[in-house]
Amino acid sequence: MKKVNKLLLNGNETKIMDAPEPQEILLPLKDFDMEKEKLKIKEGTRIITGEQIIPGFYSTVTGTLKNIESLLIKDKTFTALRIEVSEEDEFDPNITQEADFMEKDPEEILKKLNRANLGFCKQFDKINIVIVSAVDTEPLVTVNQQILRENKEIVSEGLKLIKHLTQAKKIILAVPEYLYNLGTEVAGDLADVFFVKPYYPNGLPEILTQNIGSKYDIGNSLFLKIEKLIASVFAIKEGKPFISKVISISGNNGVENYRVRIGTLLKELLKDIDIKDNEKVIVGGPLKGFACYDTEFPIGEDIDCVYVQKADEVVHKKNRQCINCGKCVRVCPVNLDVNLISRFAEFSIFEKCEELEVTACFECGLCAYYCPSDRSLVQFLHFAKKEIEKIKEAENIEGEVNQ
Amino acid sequence: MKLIVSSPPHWHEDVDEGKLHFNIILALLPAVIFAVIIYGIHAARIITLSITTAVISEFLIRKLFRKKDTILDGSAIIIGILFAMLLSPSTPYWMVIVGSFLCIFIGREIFGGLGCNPLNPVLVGWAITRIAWPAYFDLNLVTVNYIKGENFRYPLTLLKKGGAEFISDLSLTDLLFRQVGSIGAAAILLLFLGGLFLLWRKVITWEIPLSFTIGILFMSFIFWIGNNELYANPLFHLLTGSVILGIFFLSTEYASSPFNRWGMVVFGLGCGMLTIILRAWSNYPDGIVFAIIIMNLFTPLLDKIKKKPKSIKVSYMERGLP
Repeated sequence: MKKVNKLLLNGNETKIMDAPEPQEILLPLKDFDMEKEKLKIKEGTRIITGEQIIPGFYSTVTGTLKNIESLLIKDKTFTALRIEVSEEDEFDPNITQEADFMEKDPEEILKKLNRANLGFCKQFDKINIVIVSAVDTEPLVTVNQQILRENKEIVSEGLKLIKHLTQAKKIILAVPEYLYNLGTEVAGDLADVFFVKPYYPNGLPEILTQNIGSKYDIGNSLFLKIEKLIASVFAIKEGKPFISKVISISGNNGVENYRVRIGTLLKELLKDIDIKDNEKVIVGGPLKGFACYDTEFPIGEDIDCVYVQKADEVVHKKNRQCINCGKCVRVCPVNLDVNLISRFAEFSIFEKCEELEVTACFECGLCAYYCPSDRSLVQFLHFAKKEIEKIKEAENIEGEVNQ
Repeated sequence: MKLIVSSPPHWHEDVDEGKLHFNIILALLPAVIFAVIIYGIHAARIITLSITTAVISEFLIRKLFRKKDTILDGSAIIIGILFAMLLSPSTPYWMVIVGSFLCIFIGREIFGGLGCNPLNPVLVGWAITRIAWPAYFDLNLVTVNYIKGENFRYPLTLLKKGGAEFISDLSLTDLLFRQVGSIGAAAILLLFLGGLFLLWRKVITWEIPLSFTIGILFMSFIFWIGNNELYANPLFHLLTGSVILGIFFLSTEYASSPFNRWGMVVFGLGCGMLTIILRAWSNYPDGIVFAIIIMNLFTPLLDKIKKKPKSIKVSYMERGLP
């Protein structure tokens, strides 16, 4: 039998196809509290593409607002807008293009980009390094490398734009090793190229920042995915808002890349795939992803992958007793004592978890992937982190009351 | 449509403790067969008796403690085999039963079962029986009846009694193929191959075996340089007694050995050096078991030799990302 290294990042070229336009979309509003603030628009209002709904949040389709509902994503509840999509796209006239952006003031460009739904930070302050990542985060994802392959000419323009925008001293383009030629060709003398070994955790922002930090003086750094870089070039040169997102769908026929409108529901996206009982629909990759309980789930701008796992591939965690083999400790990229922390969390001794610095965990999932006892280590660590957060919150409130 | 939800990751490496233990049993099997060929029915009797006792006592103890049944993970079988391999071929049946039971009970189950033992359970059982009934462990004496031929003496006892002169007539082939000793120590080459198999299957890591070997070679070299009439050469120490068994199978037991790289290295070096010190200065001809037990006690301390946890801060250029 051929040995398969599951954690090898996928280097296959998969063309990006356009997904069919959705019938309706669901837009969760980030940082919006229904009780404190009021929505200006009402049900039945017509919304056009790129229109501002709340400050800093823009519609990605043209259509009518059907319903305002609440939506549970991971462990947070969001207010979400259900919009029925009309056939023709109408773009907001406030989004304007700027052909020769190098002449303009960076702040003005930033405003323009944010008006086009790119959602960059409000301002950049003494940036040393900007890391532009064309490495995919997880094994089943081919989004970033494919965008790099298909937009060779635009990347250099994007690098210029980012350099001008952030006034950074240096830009580093991270590409997987198998794109060696393409990476050096595209970067030219605009950016340094950082080659990444195509194995799983190397593509994660945390690991990339750490690895680049060991080679360069990183100081104040910013992290950017190449998709946003390309989108910002389109926004500034052609006045196109950032409304669609490339995602890798792993279903029946291996990995396929689709360009999908942000807010499209999973059930529309996966209607060709026959999803049966006892299967898993995972949003965001097999190692860090989130298993949906329902296909009524919108594609957000931070999602790279949708993975439909067949019933015979589903891992059922048994949570047997720890045998102290130490594999989790050896693979942990932030050197945590996972074996100890998981057991402290299991028995609710959170002070010890905090002492062992569980908060450094960014849930890469390697420990639970390797655990021979099938323990759901990531869940224990996540639980400990959340409990510590709650304890701190409670302490803060108590402190305020005592004063 | 009922979807399954769970916490990430949604993949798992195709390994569980049953598979790890199966690999260890597989690695021990050639040496077991070799032992049965050399020592005949006596070895077979001790090995089967030891395995049976270990498995049955684990089953009964876990029943008594009202804990989940864990026989199928194969760890009791490994304890049974390893304990038998440390015995001499003439060990009486009652001692095998008592020792194997003590391995499981005192060595492991009273601490909570698989993975909770502070010391290697096999060695705990062995040490108790070794101290309680020393006569049955005088390998030089008890193997007289079982080996035909001239070199039927246990090399380490010879070394203890008479220094380097007594062992000078033992050739390398004697050590490799016709060595007298406990059941498991005879098949040095096969145990070595088994150890390489474990390394290849990634059941154990290379740090402990390598540093253990270096520790033994280094310490015996120092003794040998100091007085080569009294002490044997490094290669002799590496090839005699239960050293190969200890390097690959006893010291690498998961729960009782450290799991960070430098901790493992220190552990291995300590085991190796202590082995030679005990061989040279203690009453016991082969000190490896006590050396490993002593180093097992340092494991919680050695686990602290590691890099500090570090949190990695990433500042994203965009909002919205978690």
